[in-house]
Amino acid sequence: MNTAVETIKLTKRYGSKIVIDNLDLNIEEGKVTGLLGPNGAGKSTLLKALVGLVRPDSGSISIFGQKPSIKLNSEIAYLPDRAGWYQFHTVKTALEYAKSVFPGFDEPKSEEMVKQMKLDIDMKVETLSKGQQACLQLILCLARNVRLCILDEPFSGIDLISRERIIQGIIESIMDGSRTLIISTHEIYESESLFEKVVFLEEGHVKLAGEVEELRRQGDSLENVYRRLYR
Amino acid sequence: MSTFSKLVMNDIGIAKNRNRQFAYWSKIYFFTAIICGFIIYTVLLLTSQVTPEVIGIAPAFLLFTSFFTSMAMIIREWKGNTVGWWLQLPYSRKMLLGAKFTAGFIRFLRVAVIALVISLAFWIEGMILKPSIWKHYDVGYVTTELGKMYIEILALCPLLIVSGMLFAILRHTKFRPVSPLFWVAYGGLISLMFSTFFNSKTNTDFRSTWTFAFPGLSTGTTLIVGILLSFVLAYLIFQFAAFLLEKHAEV
Repeated sequence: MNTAVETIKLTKRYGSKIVIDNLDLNIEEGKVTGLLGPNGAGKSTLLKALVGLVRPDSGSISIFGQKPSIKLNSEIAYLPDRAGWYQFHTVKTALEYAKSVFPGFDEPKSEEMVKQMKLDIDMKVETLSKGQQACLQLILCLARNVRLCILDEPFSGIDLISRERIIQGIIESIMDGSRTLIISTHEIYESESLFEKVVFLEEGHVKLAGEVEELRRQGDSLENVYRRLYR
Repeated sequence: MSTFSKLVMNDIGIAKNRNRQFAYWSKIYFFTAIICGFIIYTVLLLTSQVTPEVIGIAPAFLLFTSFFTSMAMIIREWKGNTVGWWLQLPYSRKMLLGAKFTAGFIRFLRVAVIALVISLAFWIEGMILKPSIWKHYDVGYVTTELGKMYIEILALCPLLIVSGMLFAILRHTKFRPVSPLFWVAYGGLISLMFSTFFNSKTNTDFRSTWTFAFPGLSTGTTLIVGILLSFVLAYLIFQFAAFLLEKHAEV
C-alpha cells in the first residue's frame, strides 16, 4: 500500500511548549484515517503543517512523496478547525467562488450535496446556522476531486442532525475509495464507523496506531480504547 | 472570470464587509455626517473661518483610507477565521497579495471619486456664498488643481496600500514585536510624503494671492522623482510582504 502522508522526527514548538514531538507517522493512501487524542495532543498543528499553514522546527513531511508546498495544495482539500466562511457570500456565490479558486472543484457534485444537506442556495452565509455553515464548508472540501482530504474537527459544536448529514456527506464522498481522508475529531462515537485506520496522539507523538478492525478485535469500541489510553 | 479576478472580487467584498445591522446603521451615520458636515461647513463659510486651502488639501488625507482598507482586508481573514481557507489556496503569495492590492486600489478609487464630488460641491458653495474670497477660483482652475492633487494621491496610494498589507501580515509573524517600529517608520514616511508633495506652501496666507489655494502641489522634477521613488518603495514592500506571508506567517 502506498503512503499518502509520512512524517519523520517532526517537531513543532510554540515558544517553550513542544506541540509536536519527534513525530514519526505513516498514513496510507486511499484509506480513511481518524486522528484522535485529547486537546493539545497536536492534531490541528500536524494538519496545518501538512498544508503549510505552520512551519515545523525540525523533521520532515512528505505528502505523496513531495514536500508540502503551495503547488501541492492543489491536491489537498483542507477543512480548518473552527473555520469561518465569507459572511457576505450566499451559498451559491460560495460555490461559484470555490469553482474559480479551488482546483478540481466539482460544481454538479457540490450542488447535489447542497440539496442533500438541505441548504438554501440563495441564503447568505451570515444568516446560516452554525451547523449549516459547517455543512457548507464541508461541501467546499468534499466536492473537490483531490487525492487528499483533511477534515479538522468537522463535527465541532454541530447539532446531532447536522452531524448526521455531515457524516452521510463524508460516506458518499468516499464511496469510490480513490481518495485519502484524514479526520481529526473528538466525536469518536459518531465517526467510528467512518474510520479504517486510527492514530491516537498524545503530547505530539503517536500513542497508538493501527487498523480499526484489529483494535476492535483486541478490545472493543474506539471509545473504550480511547478511555483506556487517556484515563 | 479568471481566478485572479475572482480573488479580487472576493477581496472587494471583504473590504466592504459589515454585518447587516452595522451596514444599516452605517448608512444612517453616513448620511447624518454628510448633513452635519454640510451645515457646519456652511456656518464656517459664512463666518469666513473656512479657507480654500482646506478644500484643496483635504483630499490628501484620503491616502490614509487606502492604508487602513488594505490592512483591514488581511486582518479580517484572521478575525473571520477564513485565513485557513485563504492561505491553503494553491497560488503564489504574490498572487494572493496582488489580488488584495488590486481590490484596495479599486476601493480607493471609489472613495476618491466620492471625495472629488464633495470637494467640488464645497467649492461651488464657497463661490456662491462668499464670492469676495472665492471668486478668484473659476471652475476650470479648480478642476485643474483638483485633478493634479488626485494624480498625486493616486500615484502615492500604492505605497500606502502595500504598507497596510505589510503591517497586517507582520502582526501574524514572529516579528510582531517590531510593529511599534513600523508605526514610527510609517509616521516618518507620511510626514516625508506630505512635506514633499503637499506642504511646501501651507504657511502662506491664501488671501494674498489666489495661486495659493492649493497649498504647494509639487511639480516638475520633484514630483516625478518622488512618484518614481514611491513606486520603487511600494514594489519592495510588496515583495517583502509576500515573503513574510509565505515564510513566516502562521495560522
